[in-house]
Amino acid sequence: MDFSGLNVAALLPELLVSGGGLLVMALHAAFRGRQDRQLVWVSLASVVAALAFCLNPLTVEPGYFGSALSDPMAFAGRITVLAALVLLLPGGVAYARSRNLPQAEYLSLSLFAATGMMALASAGDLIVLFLAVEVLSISLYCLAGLMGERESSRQAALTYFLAGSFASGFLLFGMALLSGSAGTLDIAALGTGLARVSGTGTQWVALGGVVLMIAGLLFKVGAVPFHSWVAEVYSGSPTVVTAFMSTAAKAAAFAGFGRVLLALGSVSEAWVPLVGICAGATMILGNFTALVQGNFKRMLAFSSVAHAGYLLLGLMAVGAAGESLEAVIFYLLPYVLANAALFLVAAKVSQAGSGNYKLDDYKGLARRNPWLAGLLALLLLGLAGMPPLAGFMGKFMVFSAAVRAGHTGLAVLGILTSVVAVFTYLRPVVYAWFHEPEESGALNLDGGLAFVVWVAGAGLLLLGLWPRLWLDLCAGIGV
Amino acid sequence: MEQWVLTLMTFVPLLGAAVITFLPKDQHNLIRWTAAAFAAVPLLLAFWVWQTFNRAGVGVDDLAGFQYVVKLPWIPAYNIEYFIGVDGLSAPMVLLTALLSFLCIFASWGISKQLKGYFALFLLLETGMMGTFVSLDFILFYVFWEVMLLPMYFLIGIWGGPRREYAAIKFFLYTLAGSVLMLVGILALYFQGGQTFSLIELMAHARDFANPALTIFGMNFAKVLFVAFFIGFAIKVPVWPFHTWLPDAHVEAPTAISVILAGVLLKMGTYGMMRISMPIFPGAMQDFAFAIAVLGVINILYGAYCAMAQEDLKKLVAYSSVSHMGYVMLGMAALTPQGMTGAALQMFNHGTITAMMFLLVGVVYDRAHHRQINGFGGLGAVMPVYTGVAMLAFFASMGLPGLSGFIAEVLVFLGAFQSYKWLTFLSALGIILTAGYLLWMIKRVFLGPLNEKYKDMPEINARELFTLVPIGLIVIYLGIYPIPVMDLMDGATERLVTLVTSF
Repeated sequence: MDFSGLNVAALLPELLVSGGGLLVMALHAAFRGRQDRQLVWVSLASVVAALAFCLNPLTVEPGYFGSALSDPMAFAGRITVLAALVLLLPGGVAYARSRNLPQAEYLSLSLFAATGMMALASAGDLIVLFLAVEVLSISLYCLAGLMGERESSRQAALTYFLAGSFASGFLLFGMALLSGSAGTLDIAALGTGLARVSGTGTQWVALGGVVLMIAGLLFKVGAVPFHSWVAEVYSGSPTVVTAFMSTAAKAAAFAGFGRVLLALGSVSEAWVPLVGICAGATMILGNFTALVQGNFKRMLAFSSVAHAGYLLLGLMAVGAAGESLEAVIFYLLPYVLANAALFLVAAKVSQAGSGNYKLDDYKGLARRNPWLAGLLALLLLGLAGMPPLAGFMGKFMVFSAAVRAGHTGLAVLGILTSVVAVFTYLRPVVYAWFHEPEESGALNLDGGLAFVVWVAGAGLLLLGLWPRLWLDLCAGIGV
Repeated sequence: MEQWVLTLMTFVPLLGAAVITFLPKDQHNLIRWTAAAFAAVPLLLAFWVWQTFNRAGVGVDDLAGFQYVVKLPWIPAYNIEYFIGVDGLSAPMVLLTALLSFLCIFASWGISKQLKGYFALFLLLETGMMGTFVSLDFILFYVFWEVMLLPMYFLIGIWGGPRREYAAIKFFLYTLAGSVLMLVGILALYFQGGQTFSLIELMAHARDFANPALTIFGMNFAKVLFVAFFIGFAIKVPVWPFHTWLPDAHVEAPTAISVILAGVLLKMGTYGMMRISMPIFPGAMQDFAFAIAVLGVINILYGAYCAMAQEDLKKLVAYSSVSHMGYVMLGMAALTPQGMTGAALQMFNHGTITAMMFLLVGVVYDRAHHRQINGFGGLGAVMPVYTGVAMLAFFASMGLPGLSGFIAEVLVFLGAFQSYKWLTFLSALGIILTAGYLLWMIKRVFLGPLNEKYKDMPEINARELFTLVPIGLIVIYLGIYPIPVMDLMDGATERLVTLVTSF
């Protein structure tokens, strides 16, 4: 057998991160938990090393006989996941420590989940895609239940597990039908495979497969009609885990499934209307539900449902036209930056206030820490898509892709629901700036959190002014 | 080097905002003077632009007529450019923005709460306004348009009156709803107009857009987009029935912010119609001209009636803005050279006159801490200088010959009469109503027996005079000799009218 196609180096980022996870577990056991404080450095080292390899890959040949791809999409997905980790791990460990959660478990499970996410973003065939989904899902189920003594956390883990299992079932069944009728597991070859059976009875089997796979995707990203698990899981899980789910996991899912949908461009008339309806419903439901929340964490949860709607719109627009996923790739990074930072801020503000993420905690934040309140406004407005922040550029690219593909109605719907979103995001800002504080005393950030918030804020501004920075970077790495 | 003047005017205030955030927060005078210094730069540059502006240049759809043009790629993948320049439509607005922003720094001297934030946001607002007027790229225009929204929102929401939160959110949502409609329109134009955001190039595609076979949502493309843009701009003007945010915002906003709001922001609506709607959709403009004229007349009469009913001095001035912006609409919709020039001139003149009126309201409010028209009386006896300046402003607003408001209104009526005789007749009634509400207000506030409560009211001080006198001089000067501003805009307004009528 010829092993020249193996090219292990293509998987270096994944290997580094999963190796980091194993090392964390080993060190935890070896020191009997006495040196857990240092483990975050081990984890960060593996993440940074992986990031370095993503930015300067040793090879851009696909690995494992085409199962692990090295295209711009793969690198964009990996870098986004790793960036989320860099932002979340230090804050996450501090969070875990302050709430007496097991740090080593948190770190190693996060790294394993990230391995799955990165593999998902670069999966070249359906089996690897499924394996990646499972690796990331199982790690996330455990992470959701990390606060085991709290009922909400246990409930979140169980709900997530059940919903996720259904999704996996759909996904696997869909893959079976699809690969069976197309005669291949290779994602890139699905389109030609399906073209061969078009007009025959097998076509309908294939279509069933497409629909089931899309259902799996909608489940995983929490889009309508499979969104009902989101509120409970997102609000019950430890906040740093929620942040991880709503950012990195979503980015990876869109990268991985985006690739599949692109490959199915030849049968786009079968899935585009379906995804379109779900995208529209997701934008409406996500934004309006977010609007009425009095709880910051739940508001962010539903707003991330809404963002899934915009991303689906982008997917269907480019999928139909068979173009690159540039709009989706771009949309994800500022979304991830802003969301990761906001969840961490939420944890901090809530801890200093009511302890249960009430919006009221933000009252008078500007008096207690004007810089934090300013950055909070910046991040929220970035998510809302106000120019010149990056969220605007993301939405601009998605909507212009939609208009170009002829989905003007959905673009209008997207833009109108964005106004609702602005109203949602302004409420904490109004509380922070226009209201008197209920508690006095400064609210100081520790160094790690301040770093995250500033990096995310600067990133939003920079990417908004020079969006090509990120896209050119991705295009420059992969092939 | 010269072409960078507009860039400097736009971004020097932003730099000022950044500098102010790093000043120590208890050094109040340092913060104020820094803000003044950074606002002075655009004013000096604007003055220079006004001096050096080539009056023979036409502009509108002719790039050669634009001056101080900078065109650099910004986001090449989408053909988005940093494309700025001024022509006869934008030059007066740039001048107005620079002037009012500078004077408003001094009108904000009394702000004592969170000074750093206030002046930083104020300068950011100036960047947004300036950028909106000089942008020739649609996305750049949109970005500046939105950039201006946020500081305004915070300035009303933090430094405003008792109902500031409500007013700020209402202002924000109304404007945002308008601007997102615009965004859909921008995208649709981009894909129909050869994938460009350059306003000039889009104007060259006017015939393609007007193609009756072209549809969007099953309706005529040009008409749908014209209406979408019109609503976006109409909210800003504000055109009845989208005007309800205005009185709320004005009443709650601090004085200087009211000045900017009425003096500059409202003009962006009508400026947008002239810069964007008319030259890109000349055919639709012809179709809708009558409807716009009717809306203009409604604004004139409805605004004036509302002003008459107000008890609050500031609300009266706010509704007078609604009324006066109606003249701009009417003049524009007449599609005659006199009407268009009148409209453009009215934009400038209303900017100066209404600024004076809001500043004047601020002066009494700072002393009496209320604005009830019936709560004063005989102020003329204790504040003669103040009353003198106030008379100048109110008479200018009434359109008294010899003051700047007169010329613009006459031109508007001259232009409109050629197109819509009955509408012009109706709108002329607005003049009587305007005289009515203003004279009645003057009688109650300045004349009559002195209200004993205010017998020791201090006279207007030097700082307040400093903000009012320059504008007052402009109002008088342009009333006698309007050419220095009119010759800026003449070429462009004529070009605009030909563009629409010859389509």
